[in-house]
Amino acid sequence: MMKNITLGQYYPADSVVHRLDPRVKIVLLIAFVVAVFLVPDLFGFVFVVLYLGLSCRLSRLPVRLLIKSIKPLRFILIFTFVLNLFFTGGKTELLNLGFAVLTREGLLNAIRYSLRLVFLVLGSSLLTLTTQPVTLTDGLERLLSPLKVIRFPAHEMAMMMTIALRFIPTLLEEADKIMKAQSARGSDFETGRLIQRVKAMVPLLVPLFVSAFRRAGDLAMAMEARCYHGGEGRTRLHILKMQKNDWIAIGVTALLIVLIVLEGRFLSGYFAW
Amino acid sequence: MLLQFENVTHTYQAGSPFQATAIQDVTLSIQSGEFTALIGHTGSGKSTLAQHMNALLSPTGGRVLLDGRDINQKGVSKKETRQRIGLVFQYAETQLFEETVAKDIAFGPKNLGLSQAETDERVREALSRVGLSDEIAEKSPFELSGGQMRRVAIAGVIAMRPEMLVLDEPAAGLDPMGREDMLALVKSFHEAGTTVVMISHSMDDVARLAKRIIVMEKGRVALEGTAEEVFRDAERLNRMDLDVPEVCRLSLRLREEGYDFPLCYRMEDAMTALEKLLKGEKNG
Repeated sequence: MMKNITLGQYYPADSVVHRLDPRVKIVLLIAFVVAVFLVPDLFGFVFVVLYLGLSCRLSRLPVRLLIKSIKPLRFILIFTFVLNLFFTGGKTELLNLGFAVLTREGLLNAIRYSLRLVFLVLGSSLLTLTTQPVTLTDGLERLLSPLKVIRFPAHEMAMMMTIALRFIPTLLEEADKIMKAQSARGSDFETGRLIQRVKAMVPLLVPLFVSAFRRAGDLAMAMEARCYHGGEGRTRLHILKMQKNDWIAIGVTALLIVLIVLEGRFLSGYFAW
Repeated sequence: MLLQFENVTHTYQAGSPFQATAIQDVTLSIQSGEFTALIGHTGSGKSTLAQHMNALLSPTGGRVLLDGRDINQKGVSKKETRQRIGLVFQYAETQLFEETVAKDIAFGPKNLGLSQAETDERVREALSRVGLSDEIAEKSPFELSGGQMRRVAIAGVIAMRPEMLVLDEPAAGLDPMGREDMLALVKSFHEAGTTVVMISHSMDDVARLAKRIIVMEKGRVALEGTAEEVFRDAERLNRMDLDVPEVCRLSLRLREEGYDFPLCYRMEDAMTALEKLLKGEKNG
Protein backbone atom coordinates (compact mmCIF):
# COMPACT_ATOMS: atom_id res chain seq x y z
CA MET A 1 0.00 0.00 0.00
CA MET A 2 2.99 2.28 0.27
CA LYS A 3 3.82 1.80 -3.35
CA ASN A 4 3.44 5.49 -3.98
CA ILE A 5 6.34 6.68 -1.93
CA THR A 6 8.04 9.45 -3.82
CA LEU A 7 11.58 8.52 -4.53
CA GLY A 8 13.66 11.56 -3.80
CA GLN A 9 11.34 14.36 -4.77
CA TYR A 10 10.77 13.75 -8.45
CA TYR A 11 7.73 15.60 -9.72
CA PRO A 12 6.33 13.85 -12.77
CA ALA A 13 5.48 16.18 -15.63
CA ASP A 14 6.10 16.40 -19.32
CA SER A 15 8.19 19.47 -19.95
CA VAL A 16 11.21 20.73 -21.83
CA VAL A 17 13.24 20.71 -18.64
CA HIS A 18 12.19 17.17 -17.77
CA ARG A 19 13.29 15.97 -21.17
CA LEU A 20 16.73 17.57 -21.08
CA ASP A 21 19.69 15.24 -21.19
CA PRO A 22 20.58 14.34 -17.59
CA ARG A 23 24.29 14.94 -18.33
CA VAL A 24 23.49 18.45 -19.45
CA LYS A 25 21.37 19.07 -16.41
CA ILE A 26 24.12 17.97 -14.04
CA VAL A 27 26.71 20.12 -15.77
CA LEU A 28 24.33 23.07 -15.87
CA LEU A 29 23.71 22.73 -12.16
CA ILE A 30 27.45 22.95 -11.54
CA ALA A 31 27.61 25.99 -13.83
CA PHE A 32 24.69 27.51 -11.99
CA VAL A 33 26.42 27.04 -8.64
CA VAL A 34 29.50 28.76 -10.03
CA ALA A 35 27.32 31.57 -11.33
CA VAL A 36 25.70 32.05 -7.92
CA PHE A 37 29.14 32.40 -6.37
CA LEU A 38 30.27 34.82 -9.05
CA VAL A 39 27.46 37.23 -8.26
CA PRO A 40 29.32 40.31 -6.96
CA ASP A 41 26.47 42.32 -5.50
CA LEU A 42 22.80 42.13 -4.74
CA PHE A 43 21.83 43.47 -8.15
CA GLY A 44 23.48 40.47 -9.79
CA PHE A 45 20.94 38.19 -8.18
CA VAL A 46 18.32 39.64 -10.51
CA PHE A 47 19.80 37.51 -13.30
CA VAL A 48 19.78 34.44 -11.08
CA VAL A 49 16.14 35.01 -10.19
CA LEU A 50 15.23 35.47 -13.84
CA TYR A 51 17.08 32.30 -14.78
CA LEU A 52 15.42 30.26 -12.03
CA GLY A 53 12.03 31.73 -12.82
CA LEU A 54 12.37 30.81 -16.45
CA SER A 55 13.48 27.25 -15.65
CA CYS A 56 10.68 26.83 -13.15
CA ARG A 57 8.14 28.09 -15.68
CA LEU A 58 9.46 25.84 -18.43
CA SER A 59 9.50 22.80 -16.17
CA ARG A 60 5.83 23.29 -15.20
CA LEU A 61 6.64 22.82 -11.54
CA PRO A 62 4.32 24.34 -8.97
CA VAL A 63 6.36 27.18 -7.45
CA ARG A 64 5.10 26.07 -4.04
CA LEU A 65 7.02 22.81 -4.44
CA LEU A 66 10.23 24.59 -5.20
CA ILE A 67 9.82 26.98 -2.29
CA LYS A 68 9.11 24.05 -0.01
CA SER A 69 12.56 22.68 -0.67
CA ILE A 70 14.10 25.54 1.29
CA LYS A 71 12.18 24.62 4.41
CA PRO A 72 14.59 22.01 5.79
CA LEU A 73 17.31 24.63 5.52
CA ARG A 74 15.64 27.31 7.56
CA PHE A 75 17.81 26.94 10.65
CA ILE A 76 21.04 27.03 8.70
CA LEU A 77 19.70 30.07 6.89
CA ILE A 78 18.89 31.92 10.07
CA PHE A 79 22.25 30.90 11.51
CA THR A 80 24.13 32.14 8.44
CA PHE A 81 22.20 35.37 8.40
CA VAL A 82 22.76 36.18 12.06
CA LEU A 83 26.39 35.16 12.01
CA ASN A 84 27.18 37.35 9.01
CA LEU A 85 25.10 40.14 10.37
CA PHE A 86 27.18 40.61 13.50
CA PHE A 87 30.59 39.23 12.66
CA THR A 88 31.41 40.78 9.35
CA GLY A 89 32.88 43.90 10.85
CA GLY A 90 32.97 46.98 8.65
CA LYS A 91 32.91 50.67 9.29
CA THR A 92 29.44 51.99 8.59
CA GLU A 93 27.61 51.58 11.84
CA LEU A 94 23.85 51.23 11.53
CA LEU A 95 22.87 50.20 14.99
CA ASN A 96 24.79 49.79 18.22
CA LEU A 97 23.24 47.29 20.58
CA GLY A 98 26.02 47.54 23.06
CA PHE A 99 27.01 43.88 23.02
CA ALA A 100 27.02 43.79 19.23
CA VAL A 101 27.32 46.26 16.43
CA LEU A 102 25.22 46.11 13.35
CA THR A 103 27.05 47.44 10.32
CA ARG A 104 25.99 48.16 6.79
CA GLU A 105 28.58 45.71 5.47
CA GLY A 106 27.31 43.06 7.84
CA LEU A 107 23.75 43.53 6.69
CA LEU A 108 24.72 43.29 3.02
CA ASN A 109 26.90 40.26 3.65
CA ALA A 110 24.14 38.53 5.60
CA ILE A 111 21.66 39.09 2.80
CA ARG A 112 24.16 37.99 0.18
CA TYR A 113 25.18 34.76 1.87
CA SER A 114 21.62 33.79 2.74
CA LEU A 115 20.50 34.43 -0.82
CA ARG A 116 23.37 32.32 -2.13
CA LEU A 117 22.32 29.43 0.04
CA VAL A 118 18.70 29.78 -1.02
CA PHE A 119 19.61 29.80 -4.69
CA LEU A 120 21.93 26.83 -4.33
CA VAL A 121 19.13 24.80 -2.82
CA LEU A 122 16.58 26.01 -5.34
CA GLY A 123 18.90 25.13 -8.21
CA SER A 124 19.63 21.63 -7.03
CA SER A 125 15.97 21.05 -6.18
CA LEU A 126 15.11 22.03 -9.71
CA LEU A 127 17.37 19.24 -10.88
CA THR A 128 16.02 16.56 -8.55
CA LEU A 129 12.42 17.64 -9.05
CA THR A 130 12.63 17.31 -12.79
CA THR A 131 14.89 14.27 -13.10
CA GLN A 132 14.19 10.74 -12.00
CA PRO A 133 16.91 9.42 -9.69
CA VAL A 134 17.66 6.55 -12.02
CA THR A 135 18.06 8.90 -14.96
CA LEU A 136 20.30 11.02 -12.81
CA THR A 137 22.63 8.15 -11.99
CA ASP A 138 22.62 7.23 -15.65
CA GLY A 139 23.77 10.72 -16.53
CA LEU A 140 26.35 10.65 -13.78
CA GLU A 141 27.72 7.39 -15.10
CA ARG A 142 28.17 8.87 -18.55
CA LEU A 143 29.80 11.97 -17.17
CA LEU A 144 32.23 9.96 -15.09
CA SER A 145 32.99 7.35 -17.73
CA PRO A 146 36.08 9.16 -19.04
CA LEU A 147 37.56 8.48 -15.61
CA LYS A 148 37.56 4.78 -16.45
CA VAL A 149 40.99 5.44 -17.90
CA ILE A 150 42.28 5.85 -14.39
CA ARG A 151 40.30 2.76 -13.33
CA PHE A 152 37.47 4.65 -11.73
CA PRO A 153 34.53 2.17 -11.65
CA ALA A 154 31.95 4.55 -13.13
CA HIS A 155 29.54 1.88 -14.30
CA GLU A 156 29.71 -0.11 -11.08
CA MET A 157 29.14 3.00 -9.01
CA ALA A 158 26.12 3.97 -11.06
CA MET A 159 24.74 0.43 -10.88
CA MET A 160 25.09 0.41 -7.11
CA MET A 161 23.34 3.74 -6.85
CA THR A 162 20.55 2.61 -9.13
CA ILE A 163 20.01 -0.58 -7.15
CA ALA A 164 20.08 1.30 -3.86
CA LEU A 165 17.51 3.76 -5.15
CA ARG A 166 15.39 0.98 -6.57
CA PHE A 167 15.19 -0.75 -3.21
CA ILE A 168 14.38 2.24 -1.04
CA PRO A 169 10.61 1.98 -1.57
CA THR A 170 10.73 -1.79 -1.26
CA LEU A 171 12.54 -1.63 2.06
CA LEU A 172 10.28 1.13 3.33
CA GLU A 173 7.28 -0.98 2.52
CA GLU A 174 8.90 -3.92 4.26
CA ALA A 175 9.76 -1.81 7.31
CA ASP A 176 6.18 -0.63 7.50
CA LYS A 177 4.90 -4.17 7.38
CA ILE A 178 7.29 -5.49 10.02
CA MET A 179 6.59 -2.52 12.24
CA LYS A 180 2.90 -3.29 12.06
CA ALA A 181 3.49 -6.98 12.68
CA GLN A 182 5.49 -6.20 15.82
CA SER A 183 2.90 -3.64 16.93
CA ALA A 184 0.31 -6.38 16.59
CA ARG A 185 2.38 -8.26 19.17
CA GLY A 186 2.19 -5.34 21.54
CA SER A 187 5.43 -3.62 20.59
CA ASP A 188 5.47 0.12 21.08
CA PHE A 189 7.48 2.26 18.68
CA GLU A 190 6.01 5.61 19.54
CA THR A 191 6.36 6.27 23.23
CA GLY A 192 8.96 5.73 25.89
CA ARG A 193 12.38 7.09 26.66
CA LEU A 194 15.13 7.23 24.10
CA ILE A 195 16.75 4.00 25.25
CA GLN A 196 13.45 2.15 25.15
CA ARG A 197 12.78 3.45 21.69
CA VAL A 198 16.17 2.36 20.46
CA LYS A 199 15.55 -1.05 21.98
CA ALA A 200 12.17 -1.20 20.26
CA MET A 201 13.99 -0.88 16.94
CA VAL A 202 15.72 -4.25 17.32
CA PRO A 203 12.62 -6.29 16.40
CA LEU A 204 12.29 -4.06 13.35
CA LEU A 205 15.89 -3.92 12.20
CA VAL A 206 16.78 -7.60 12.50
CA PRO A 207 14.01 -8.81 10.17
CA LEU A 208 14.69 -5.88 7.86
CA PHE A 209 18.36 -6.80 7.53
CA VAL A 210 17.54 -10.47 7.08
CA SER A 211 15.20 -9.64 4.24
CA ALA A 212 17.56 -7.11 2.68
CA PHE A 213 20.33 -9.71 2.56
CA ARG A 214 17.96 -12.27 1.13
CA ARG A 215 16.86 -9.82 -1.52
CA ALA A 216 20.44 -8.94 -2.33
CA GLY A 217 21.27 -12.60 -2.80
CA ASP A 218 18.24 -13.13 -5.02
CA LEU A 219 19.05 -10.09 -7.09
CA ALA A 220 22.68 -11.11 -7.56
CA MET A 221 21.50 -14.52 -8.69
CA ALA A 222 18.95 -13.06 -11.09
CA MET A 223 21.55 -10.71 -12.57
CA GLU A 224 24.07 -13.49 -13.03
CA ALA A 225 21.42 -15.68 -14.58
CA ARG A 226 21.11 -12.99 -17.22
CA CYS A 227 24.87 -12.90 -17.73
CA TYR A 228 25.57 -9.57 -16.07
CA HIS A 229 29.30 -9.12 -15.78
CA GLY A 230 29.86 -5.43 -15.18
CA GLY A 231 30.02 -2.52 -17.54
CA GLU A 232 32.47 -3.72 -20.13
CA GLY A 233 30.94 -4.03 -23.56
CA ARG A 234 27.48 -3.39 -22.19
CA THR A 235 25.13 -1.60 -24.56
CA ARG A 236 22.38 0.70 -23.33
CA LEU A 237 18.66 0.80 -23.68
CA HIS A 238 18.45 4.58 -23.60
CA ILE A 239 21.20 6.17 -25.58
CA LEU A 240 21.75 9.71 -24.48
CA LYS A 241 21.96 12.08 -27.36
CA MET A 242 22.21 15.84 -27.28
CA GLN A 243 19.14 17.53 -28.71
CA LYS A 244 18.54 21.05 -29.84
CA ASN A 245 17.00 21.94 -26.50
CA ASP A 246 20.11 20.76 -24.68
CA TRP A 247 22.23 23.21 -26.66
CA ILE A 248 19.74 26.00 -26.01
CA ALA A 249 19.83 25.28 -22.28
CA ILE A 250 23.63 25.41 -22.33
CA GLY A 251 23.47 28.69 -24.23
CA VAL A 252 21.05 30.27 -21.77
CA THR A 253 23.20 29.21 -18.84
CA ALA A 254 26.32 30.55 -20.50
CA LEU A 255 24.49 33.82 -21.02
CA LEU A 256 23.70 33.92 -17.32
CA ILE A 257 27.35 33.59 -16.41
CA VAL A 258 28.39 36.20 -18.96
CA LEU A 259 25.78 38.66 -17.70
CA ILE A 260 26.87 38.17 -14.11
CA VAL A 261 30.53 38.66 -14.97
CA LEU A 262 29.77 41.76 -17.04
CA GLU A 263 27.61 43.19 -14.32
CA GLY A 264 30.43 42.68 -11.86
CA ARG A 265 32.85 44.45 -14.16
CA PHE A 266 30.85 47.45 -15.16
CA LEU A 267 27.90 48.03 -12.89
CA SER A 268 29.12 46.78 -9.57
CA GLY A 269 30.51 50.10 -8.42
CA TYR A 270 27.54 51.94 -9.78
CA PHE A 271 25.08 50.58 -7.26
CA ALA A 272 26.82 50.89 -3.99
CA TRP A 273 25.38 47.59 -2.77
CA MET B 1 -17.14 -10.23 21.82
CA LEU B 2 -18.42 -8.28 18.89
CA LEU B 3 -16.40 -6.37 16.36
CA GLN B 4 -18.25 -3.84 14.25
CA PHE B 5 -17.27 -1.70 11.32
CA GLU B 6 -19.42 1.36 10.78
CA ASN B 7 -19.01 3.03 7.39
CA VAL B 8 -15.27 2.63 7.58
CA THR B 9 -13.27 4.38 4.89
CA HIS B 10 -9.53 4.52 4.61
CA THR B 11 -7.64 6.77 2.26
CA TYR B 12 -3.87 6.47 2.04
CA GLN B 13 -1.86 9.68 1.76
CA ALA B 14 -4.97 11.81 1.72
CA GLY B 15 -4.43 15.22 0.20
CA SER B 16 -1.30 14.26 -1.72
CA PRO B 17 -1.26 13.59 -5.45
CA PHE B 18 -0.83 9.92 -4.58
CA GLN B 19 -3.96 9.54 -2.50
CA ALA B 20 -5.70 6.22 -2.85
CA THR B 21 -8.84 4.99 -1.18
CA ALA B 22 -8.28 1.40 -0.13
CA ILE B 23 -11.59 0.73 1.55
CA GLN B 24 -14.77 2.68 1.28
CA ASP B 25 -17.86 2.73 3.41
CA VAL B 26 -17.40 -0.74 4.86
CA THR B 27 -20.04 -1.81 7.34
CA LEU B 28 -19.89 -5.28 8.81
CA SER B 29 -19.80 -7.12 12.09
CA ILE B 30 -18.00 -10.17 13.36
CA GLN B 31 -19.54 -12.16 16.18
CA SER B 32 -17.83 -14.18 18.82
CA GLY B 33 -17.04 -17.73 17.70
CA GLU B 34 -17.55 -17.14 14.00
CA PHE B 35 -15.30 -18.34 11.23
CA THR B 36 -15.36 -15.62 8.62
CA ALA B 37 -13.48 -15.60 5.37
CA LEU B 38 -12.51 -12.41 3.64
CA ILE B 39 -11.98 -12.90 -0.05
CA GLY B 40 -11.24 -10.60 -2.92
CA HIS B 41 -8.62 -9.71 -5.45
CA THR B 42 -5.21 -8.25 -4.84
CA GLY B 43 -5.84 -4.60 -4.12
CA SER B 44 -9.46 -5.11 -3.13
CA GLY B 45 -8.72 -3.79 0.34
CA LYS B 46 -8.66 -7.04 2.31
CA SER B 47 -5.40 -6.37 4.09
CA THR B 48 -6.28 -2.75 4.80
CA LEU B 49 -9.54 -3.94 6.29
CA ALA B 50 -7.71 -6.48 8.43
CA GLN B 51 -5.36 -3.84 9.79
CA HIS B 52 -8.32 -1.84 11.01
CA MET B 53 -9.46 -4.75 13.14
CA ASN B 54 -6.76 -4.23 15.76
CA ALA B 55 -6.19 -0.51 15.35
CA LEU B 56 -2.97 -0.78 13.35
CA LEU B 57 -4.67 1.58 10.97
CA SER B 58 -7.29 4.01 12.02
CA PRO B 59 -10.10 4.84 9.63
CA THR B 60 -10.10 8.16 7.83
CA GLY B 61 -13.90 7.95 8.01
CA GLY B 62 -16.28 5.89 10.11
CA ARG B 63 -15.67 3.91 13.28
CA VAL B 64 -14.48 0.49 14.40
CA LEU B 65 -16.20 -0.75 17.53
CA LEU B 66 -15.13 -3.57 19.82
CA ASP B 67 -17.92 -4.48 22.21
CA GLY B 68 -19.50 -1.16 21.40
CA ARG B 69 -16.42 0.94 22.14
CA ASP B 70 -14.54 2.87 19.46
CA ILE B 71 -11.07 1.32 19.44
CA ASN B 72 -9.44 4.43 18.03
CA GLN B 73 -10.81 6.72 20.70
CA LYS B 74 -8.41 8.43 23.05
CA GLY B 75 -8.06 6.51 26.26
CA VAL B 76 -8.82 3.13 24.72
CA SER B 77 -5.71 1.01 25.09
CA LYS B 78 -4.36 -0.11 21.74
CA LYS B 79 -2.30 -2.75 23.48
CA GLU B 80 -5.42 -4.28 24.98
CA THR B 81 -7.17 -4.28 21.62
CA ARG B 82 -4.18 -5.95 20.02
CA GLN B 83 -4.03 -8.54 22.77
CA ARG B 84 -7.69 -9.40 22.27
CA ILE B 85 -7.49 -9.42 18.50
CA GLY B 86 -4.38 -11.13 17.18
CA LEU B 87 -3.29 -10.35 13.65
CA VAL B 88 -1.08 -12.71 11.70
CA PHE B 89 0.35 -10.99 8.66
CA GLN B 90 0.95 -12.53 5.29
CA TYR B 91 4.36 -14.25 5.22
CA ALA B 92 4.46 -13.82 8.98
CA GLU B 93 7.83 -15.56 9.17
CA THR B 94 9.50 -12.35 8.07
CA GLN B 95 8.83 -10.80 11.47
CA LEU B 96 11.02 -13.25 13.42
CA PHE B 97 14.03 -11.59 15.01
CA GLU B 98 15.10 -13.24 18.24
CA GLU B 99 17.98 -15.60 18.89
CA THR B 100 15.75 -18.48 19.86
CA VAL B 101 12.27 -19.59 18.99
CA ALA B 102 11.19 -19.38 22.63
CA LYS B 103 12.40 -15.80 22.97
CA ASP B 104 10.62 -14.80 19.81
CA ILE B 105 7.33 -16.25 20.93
CA ALA B 106 7.83 -14.56 24.31
CA PHE B 107 8.01 -11.14 22.65
CA GLY B 108 4.24 -10.62 22.71
CA PRO B 109 3.62 -11.81 26.28
CA LYS B 110 6.59 -9.73 27.48
CA ASN B 111 5.14 -6.65 25.82
CA LEU B 112 1.96 -7.32 27.74
CA GLY B 113 4.01 -7.13 30.92
CA LEU B 114 3.53 -10.74 32.01
CA SER B 115 5.82 -12.40 34.53
CA GLN B 116 8.62 -14.71 33.43
CA ALA B 117 6.79 -17.79 34.74
CA GLU B 118 3.57 -16.85 32.98
CA THR B 119 5.50 -16.07 29.78
CA ASP B 120 7.27 -19.45 29.83
CA GLU B 121 3.97 -21.17 30.35
CA ARG B 122 2.46 -19.36 27.39
CA VAL B 123 5.41 -20.08 25.14
CA ARG B 124 5.07 -23.79 25.84
CA GLU B 125 1.35 -23.69 25.28
CA ALA B 126 1.66 -21.73 22.03
CA LEU B 127 4.30 -24.08 20.69
CA SER B 128 2.12 -27.10 21.26
CA ARG B 129 -0.92 -25.36 19.81
CA VAL B 130 0.85 -24.75 16.52
CA GLY B 131 2.08 -28.32 16.54
CA LEU B 132 5.77 -27.75 17.17
CA SER B 133 7.81 -29.79 19.60
CA ASP B 134 9.51 -28.32 22.65
CA GLU B 135 12.88 -29.29 21.21
CA ILE B 136 12.97 -26.45 18.75
CA ALA B 137 12.32 -23.88 21.47
CA GLU B 138 16.03 -23.23 21.95
CA LYS B 139 16.87 -23.28 18.25
CA SER B 140 17.37 -20.16 16.20
CA PRO B 141 14.23 -19.39 14.20
CA PHE B 142 16.44 -18.87 11.15
CA GLU B 143 17.47 -22.54 11.13
CA LEU B 144 13.91 -23.73 10.65
CA SER B 145 12.07 -24.57 7.46
CA GLY B 146 9.71 -22.00 5.96
CA GLY B 147 6.61 -23.79 7.21
CA GLN B 148 8.04 -24.10 10.71
CA MET B 149 9.02 -20.45 10.74
CA ARG B 150 5.50 -19.46 9.91
CA ARG B 151 4.20 -21.63 12.73
CA VAL B 152 6.58 -19.96 15.12
CA ALA B 153 5.32 -16.56 13.96
CA ILE B 154 1.73 -17.66 14.50
CA ALA B 155 2.68 -19.02 17.91
CA GLY B 156 4.01 -15.54 18.70
CA VAL B 157 0.51 -14.17 18.24
CA ILE B 158 -1.26 -17.11 19.88
CA ALA B 159 0.91 -16.65 22.98
CA MET B 160 -0.97 -13.43 23.67
CA ARG B 161 -4.15 -15.55 23.99
CA PRO B 162 -6.28 -13.50 21.65
CA GLU B 163 -10.04 -13.99 21.59
CA MET B 164 -10.01 -13.40 17.89
CA LEU B 165 -7.43 -14.28 15.31
CA VAL B 166 -7.13 -12.51 11.98
CA LEU B 167 -4.95 -14.40 9.51
CA ASP B 168 -3.84 -12.83 6.26
CA GLU B 169 -3.29 -15.58 3.69
CA PRO B 170 -1.87 -18.04 6.22
CA ALA B 171 -1.22 -20.69 3.58
CA ALA B 172 0.39 -18.45 0.97
CA GLY B 173 3.61 -19.79 -0.49
CA LEU B 174 3.47 -23.17 1.23
CA ASP B 175 3.67 -26.48 -0.60
CA PRO B 176 0.42 -28.50 -0.93
CA MET B 177 1.21 -30.53 2.17
CA GLY B 178 2.07 -27.40 4.14
CA ARG B 179 -1.17 -25.77 2.98
CA GLU B 180 -3.24 -28.66 4.27
CA ASP B 181 -1.46 -28.60 7.61
CA MET B 182 -1.83 -24.85 7.89
CA LEU B 183 -5.56 -24.94 7.16
CA ALA B 184 -5.99 -27.77 9.65
CA LEU B 185 -4.18 -25.58 12.17
CA VAL B 186 -6.47 -22.63 11.52
CA LYS B 187 -9.44 -24.95 11.88
CA SER B 188 -8.10 -26.20 15.21
CA PHE B 189 -7.92 -22.62 16.51
CA HIS B 190 -11.54 -22.11 15.63
CA GLU B 191 -12.56 -25.37 17.25
CA ALA B 192 -10.75 -24.34 20.41
CA GLY B 193 -13.10 -21.38 20.66
CA THR B 194 -11.16 -18.60 18.94
CA THR B 195 -13.06 -16.35 16.59
CA VAL B 196 -11.31 -16.57 13.25
CA VAL B 197 -11.14 -14.20 10.31
CA MET B 198 -9.16 -15.64 7.43
CA ILE B 199 -8.13 -13.67 4.39
CA SER B 200 -7.68 -15.81 1.35
CA HIS B 201 -8.11 -15.88 -2.34
CA SER B 202 -8.39 -19.59 -2.60
CA MET B 203 -12.07 -20.32 -2.93
CA ASP B 204 -11.58 -23.99 -2.18
CA ASP B 205 -9.93 -23.25 1.16
CA VAL B 206 -12.59 -20.74 2.04
CA ALA B 207 -15.44 -23.05 1.10
CA ARG B 208 -14.07 -25.81 3.28
CA LEU B 209 -13.60 -23.79 6.42
CA ALA B 210 -15.68 -20.66 6.62
CA LYS B 211 -19.27 -20.37 7.72
CA ARG B 212 -19.49 -16.83 6.59
CA ILE B 213 -17.92 -15.18 3.59
CA ILE B 214 -17.32 -11.54 2.90
CA VAL B 215 -16.34 -10.69 -0.66
CA MET B 216 -14.48 -7.46 -1.21
CA GLU B 217 -14.28 -5.65 -4.48
CA LYS B 218 -12.56 -2.34 -5.10
CA GLY B 219 -12.61 -1.44 -1.43
CA ARG B 220 -16.26 -2.22 -0.87
CA VAL B 221 -18.12 -5.20 0.49
CA ALA B 222 -19.56 -6.73 -2.66
CA LEU B 223 -21.18 -9.83 -1.24
CA GLU B 224 -21.72 -11.14 2.21
CA GLY B 225 -23.39 -14.26 3.52
CA THR B 226 -23.05 -17.95 4.22
CA ALA B 227 -20.95 -20.02 1.86
CA GLU B 228 -24.09 -21.29 0.10
CA GLU B 229 -25.43 -17.81 -0.41
CA VAL B 230 -22.21 -16.47 -1.80
CA PHE B 231 -21.32 -19.35 -4.08
CA ARG B 232 -24.83 -19.61 -5.49
CA ASP B 233 -24.04 -16.32 -7.19
CA ALA B 234 -21.30 -17.85 -9.29
CA GLU B 235 -21.93 -15.49 -12.14
CA ARG B 236 -21.48 -12.43 -10.03
CA LEU B 237 -18.25 -13.82 -8.61
CA ASN B 238 -17.07 -14.52 -12.11
CA ARG B 239 -17.81 -10.98 -13.08
CA MET B 240 -15.51 -9.88 -10.28
CA ASP B 241 -12.89 -12.19 -11.74
CA LEU B 242 -13.25 -14.47 -8.76
CA ASP B 243 -13.75 -18.14 -9.03
CA VAL B 244 -16.20 -20.38 -7.26
CA PRO B 245 -14.70 -23.55 -5.77
CA GLU B 246 -14.16 -26.30 -8.30
CA VAL B 247 -16.74 -28.54 -6.64
CA CYS B 248 -19.18 -25.70 -6.85
CA ARG B 249 -18.53 -25.27 -10.54
CA LEU B 250 -19.18 -28.94 -11.06
CA SER B 251 -22.52 -28.84 -9.29
CA LEU B 252 -23.60 -25.69 -11.09
CA ARG B 253 -22.73 -27.30 -14.39
CA LEU B 254 -24.68 -30.45 -13.54
CA ARG B 255 -27.71 -28.36 -12.64
CA GLU B 256 -27.38 -26.54 -15.92
CA GLU B 257 -27.49 -29.86 -17.69
CA GLY B 258 -30.77 -30.58 -16.00
CA TYR B 259 -29.66 -32.90 -13.24
CA ASP B 260 -31.27 -32.70 -9.86
CA PHE B 261 -28.12 -31.84 -7.99
CA PRO B 262 -27.66 -29.76 -4.86
CA LEU B 263 -25.29 -26.81 -4.85
CA CYS B 264 -22.23 -28.19 -3.11
CA TYR B 265 -19.11 -26.36 -2.16
CA ARG B 266 -17.36 -29.04 -0.12
CA MET B 267 -15.80 -32.05 -1.71
CA GLU B 268 -17.48 -34.43 0.74
CA ASP B 269 -20.97 -33.14 0.03
CA ALA B 270 -20.41 -33.40 -3.68
CA MET B 271 -19.22 -36.96 -3.35
CA THR B 272 -22.35 -37.99 -1.46
CA ALA B 273 -24.59 -36.21 -3.94
CA LEU B 274 -22.77 -37.73 -6.90
CA GLU B 275 -23.07 -41.18 -5.44
CA LYS B 276 -26.77 -40.68 -5.00
CA LEU B 277 -27.12 -39.38 -8.51
CA LEU B 278 -25.21 -42.28 -10.02
CA LYS B 279 -27.23 -44.80 -8.08
CA GLY B 280 -30.44 -43.16 -9.23
CA GLU B 281 -29.28 -43.30 -12.86
CA LYS B 282 -28.54 -46.99 -12.54
CA ASN B 283 -31.92 -47.78 -11.05
CA GLY B 284 -33.81 -45.61 -13.46
